[in-house]
Amino acid sequence: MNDAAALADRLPAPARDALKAIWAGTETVILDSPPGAGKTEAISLIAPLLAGAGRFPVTVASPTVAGAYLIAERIQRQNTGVPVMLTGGSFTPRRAAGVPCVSGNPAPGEIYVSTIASRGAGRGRTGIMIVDEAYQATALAVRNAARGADQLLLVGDPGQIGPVIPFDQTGFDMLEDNPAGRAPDVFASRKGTVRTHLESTWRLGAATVEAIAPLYSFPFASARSESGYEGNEILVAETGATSVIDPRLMRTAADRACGLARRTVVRDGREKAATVAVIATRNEQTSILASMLAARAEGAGIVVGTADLLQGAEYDCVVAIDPLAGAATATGHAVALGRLCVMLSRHRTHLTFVTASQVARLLDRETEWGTVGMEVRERLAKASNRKDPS
Amino acid sequence: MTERTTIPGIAVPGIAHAFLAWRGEGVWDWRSADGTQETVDVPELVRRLKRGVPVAVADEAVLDRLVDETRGTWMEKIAILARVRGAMPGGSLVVPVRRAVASKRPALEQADLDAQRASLGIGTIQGMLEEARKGAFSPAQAVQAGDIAALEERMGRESDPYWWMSAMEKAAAAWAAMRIADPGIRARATSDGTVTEATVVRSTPSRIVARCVRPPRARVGKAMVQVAGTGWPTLGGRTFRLAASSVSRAGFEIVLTGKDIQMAPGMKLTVMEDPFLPREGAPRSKWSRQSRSAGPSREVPGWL
Repeated sequence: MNDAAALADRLPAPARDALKAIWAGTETVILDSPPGAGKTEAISLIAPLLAGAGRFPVTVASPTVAGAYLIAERIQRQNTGVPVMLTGGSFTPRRAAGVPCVSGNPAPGEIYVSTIASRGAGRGRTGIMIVDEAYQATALAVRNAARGADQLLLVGDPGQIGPVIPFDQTGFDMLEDNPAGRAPDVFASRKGTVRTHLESTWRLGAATVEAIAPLYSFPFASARSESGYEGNEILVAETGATSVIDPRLMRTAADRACGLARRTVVRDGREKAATVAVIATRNEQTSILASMLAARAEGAGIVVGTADLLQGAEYDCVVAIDPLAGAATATGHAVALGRLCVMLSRHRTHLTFVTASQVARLLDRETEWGTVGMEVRERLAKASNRKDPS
Repeated sequence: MTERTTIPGIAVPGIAHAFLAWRGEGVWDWRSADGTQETVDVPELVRRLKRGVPVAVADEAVLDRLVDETRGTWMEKIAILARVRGAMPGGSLVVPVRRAVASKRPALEQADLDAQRASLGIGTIQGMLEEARKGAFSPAQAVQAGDIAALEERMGRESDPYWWMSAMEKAAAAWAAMRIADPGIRARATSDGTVTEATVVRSTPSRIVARCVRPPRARVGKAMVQVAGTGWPTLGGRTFRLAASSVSRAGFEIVLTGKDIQMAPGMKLTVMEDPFLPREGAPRSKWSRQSRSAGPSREVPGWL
């Protein structure tokens, strides 16, 4: 392959440590990442290094078809000369952007990209399996997908929303080896597992990093050079909403999104219109917001979606509606810290957090979600009251 | 017999089982289905349970006590299984009954329990099978019901939580398929590809190639085939293996294999994919705890 050393130099130190551990023969390696830290970029470098310089058969598995297309394209774009192919019944050449669609297993020196489900359904063999967005997969799914693999590298953001399981899995909770658990959480307890984490985010500014720090078990910093946005990185807008679809809540979010859509950001020295998304947690909220924005000229390009839907996406500006705003009770869905984390980490330049005064009442200080949720909201409020240098 | 509830999935009403009651520390009443009653200690209790005798207990509190007293033994997994099965999609058909019963009265006679089940529709897997026998379901649904029942029955014999989880995922798909596998919508492409229309294009004594309008969801699995207008399943209720599928812009082809099957080209089929039967359960994997292995040892290159 082309200069392996130069390619390895582009990896941040923790990712290189993960690569070294896999290369040395560690059976399971976990690379944790904060939001926007370059997980996909790291995989797109690690996979060709293992396959090209190491001559290992490598498979990259993603939880979604879209994710697999993306990662295959990113690896291809690195132009390392290492063959990369998509494998599985869901892939078509039309969408594959020049990446060949094949069947079978990777030979030494080849990279196959697939979905976790597809690898789990087949009986494929591979040397090293890299699982992208590993926190979105259950231990069961990864165990099945990796049963033909000698080594496993799990890459993911522990702050993200976990896998969606269409039934009550509390019966498994008392097991350490929990098949319904998030894959890295379960595999971490295997003997000899090496775990490391990326240390900086390229997407989020310092104020956001500080606000979401309680949601992570490891420290990380902002490496963002410039926001390209004039004004506070975080703004908290409190309403007196008394229901999750309270017009005051919906109108505040829609007004703010339209205001942001009129703004510009400067990136790479060029001024451009800001990309804006409104993120909520309930489908009824997104339906109302979409209809409100459709009636306004500025609303045309604004993306509206749930945290689950927009997980993994990135926008210049985000308006996030507090999952507990207007709620009568604290449901498991609304208090899930992963959902809150996703909502607070999709923006490159600015976040408006629309909340309601009754939220504090719902946060149970006796629980982890209550104490952490409260601390994050307090940090958001503090950042909102501070005038950022940008 | 007075019975307030059952351990979901372990004790299925209608099947002979024992009723367990706690008498005191380490002492249990074992009431057999024939009415005989004896006192057993925990080791004996575990021995009997290990033999696979379906048991019922009064409520969650007794179940918890059972788990506590047999902790560290086989029973812990069984208790988890009980909860897992209680949480199965479709309510496992037992849980709604249990909850409804628990919320209304502390204790019920069997007749009351039956009445509760009746008021809730289908009460148990056994009840579901009864419904299927009476023809309340479409044939496709009946097939699904049988598969789910078989799955639940097998869950009681497995001890690997990964197998249970896998089975639950498959059961969730089976329940979803059951809801949509209805004659009224059979002609339409369904959301998860379980039912679709096909036309026979080639036929040999043991192999049928049919062309469908949308791709099958899974490349492997079983397929139930119906010849238009003749009921479901046809050809003696025979099942066919979905041997292969290929996708093209014109549609897709499936190859069905089975013993002595023959259909005329042009014949319309309805194909119900059945990719979720957990005949194998969660496959054996080197990544299971029981089969830990060391990774290879290699030298890391200097440039890294």
